[in-house]
Amino acid sequence: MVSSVSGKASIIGFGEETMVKGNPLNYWSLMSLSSQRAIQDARLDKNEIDGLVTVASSWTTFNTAANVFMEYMGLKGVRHCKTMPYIGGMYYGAFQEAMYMITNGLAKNVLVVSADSQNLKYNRTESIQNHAQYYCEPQWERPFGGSIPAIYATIAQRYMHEYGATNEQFAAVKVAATKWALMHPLAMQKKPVTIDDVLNSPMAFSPLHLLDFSMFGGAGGFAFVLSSTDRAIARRGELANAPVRMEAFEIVPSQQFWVSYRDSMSISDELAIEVPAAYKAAGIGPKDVDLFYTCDTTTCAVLQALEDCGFCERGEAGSFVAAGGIDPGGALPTNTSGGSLSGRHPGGSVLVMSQLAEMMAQLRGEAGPRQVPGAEVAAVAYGGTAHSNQSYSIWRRLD
Amino acid sequence: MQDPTNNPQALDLVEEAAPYWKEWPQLKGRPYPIVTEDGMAFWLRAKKGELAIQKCPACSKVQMPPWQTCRHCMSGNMEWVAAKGTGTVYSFSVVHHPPYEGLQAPYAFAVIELDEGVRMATNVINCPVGDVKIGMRVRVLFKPISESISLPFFEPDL
Repeated sequence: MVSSVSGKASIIGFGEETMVKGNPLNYWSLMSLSSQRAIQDARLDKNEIDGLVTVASSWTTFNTAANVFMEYMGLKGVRHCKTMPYIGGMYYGAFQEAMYMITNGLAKNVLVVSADSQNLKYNRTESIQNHAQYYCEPQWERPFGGSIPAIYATIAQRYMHEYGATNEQFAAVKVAATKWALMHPLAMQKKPVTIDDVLNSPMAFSPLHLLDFSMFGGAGGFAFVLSSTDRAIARRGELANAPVRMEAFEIVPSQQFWVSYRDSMSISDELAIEVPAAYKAAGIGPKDVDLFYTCDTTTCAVLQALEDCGFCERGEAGSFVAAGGIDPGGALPTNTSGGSLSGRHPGGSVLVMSQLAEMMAQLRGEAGPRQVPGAEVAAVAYGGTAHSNQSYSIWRRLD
Repeated sequence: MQDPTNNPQALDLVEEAAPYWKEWPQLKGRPYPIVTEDGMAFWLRAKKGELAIQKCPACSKVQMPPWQTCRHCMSGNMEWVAAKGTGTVYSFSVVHHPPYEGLQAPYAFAVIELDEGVRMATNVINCPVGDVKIGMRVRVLFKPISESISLPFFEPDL
């Protein structure tokens, strides 16, 4: 993001529909229910939505096509629309796309919406099989039994080797996530977890134990309405909630979840570019961040993100987490819903959206027992599978 | 895996996944590599027991996995050269949940850094999975899985 558009777009409406059991609603239904709530939250008529960005779900791309969705919803005012692809985490580009529409004067009110029900349809084993079948590199990795969790584990093994991280430090991430999850009504982890619980859980993909991985389950639709920050401030009196300004949104494309293509496993080449750019655009540093949301499909990934985003020196995230750094009341409250490690992983394309939902709850002061007092600035580091397409964004509540 | 025909969204799933569903029977065994034009030369040489890697005649850099053009200087006409077949374990994971029935767990899924500098995914075999370590010296060992395909595995280079 160039600095001339930094801070020019804000979220003015948000809606979600989360399912925890039963037959999932299809993508359309999840998208429409969440969109309806977001548009109402933004105090807009549906025909005032003039920009639309949908994000493909994990199993189909056509199903969530923006031009089809706008007809389904009867969004008569849409003049610009785009469907973001699923694969490799490019869906985070949806927000960047909305920002481009707004700052170029193409649209006043942009709806960003996505839904997924993959993890309500498939159990854990099926999900691993699906991921190995669809997303593992088919010529050079799949014949050797590669799979998404195996690739995450290979990355973790190298990270341990280079920085001396330990399984106890990995386990501390799960323990911290569970402390948050126990305060969230829809979290899957219902009981406290100890370091020993993680270490004594079955070794799944060495060096990672079963409890080092996220908890698959649920389905969700998430919708956000964005407008220009000027317009958000002008409408502040009629909005239900304080706008949340996009201070910076940096994406460096990559498709590095195919391990044989990766340059480094311990360091994100993308975040190395994005993080300084984002802090510069936002005019802040890591110390100014009140909330941190990051991909936690494995415990190790959280440690790597804490280092990639400047919150810890290289190799020090493990001791930071073990000392309670990301706990409730810690120096950097992280994944405050329990994330996917102890909250829920509702499906590839909406994991980050579910984290952004929690970010909205926190920034709006609606997070109940999990509420971080005075939380004003949030940072979000997310990529696609196994650290591909890492993005970094910074958000601030406008009072 | 659920039978897609029992799924209310079956039509969408089957239509989009058609190329993959056709391979479904292979999931009973070890999955074959889906050989591309870029990789054909590798598999032809692998059948003869040679580990081939791509080398760029313009900038002399090596690359794997192969591609029509050089990732460093973008020249075409990539050449194939024989690698020594030795390297070190860059990283690995001992997998206890194989994605295919034809893979016997536990096995070591590994990324090897060849002495020429490129990396490739493989399995480290012929040693207990507990012995696999980062930095361990390994050498290639081809094993046929069909008449036309031999896979490059690696074993300890003692």
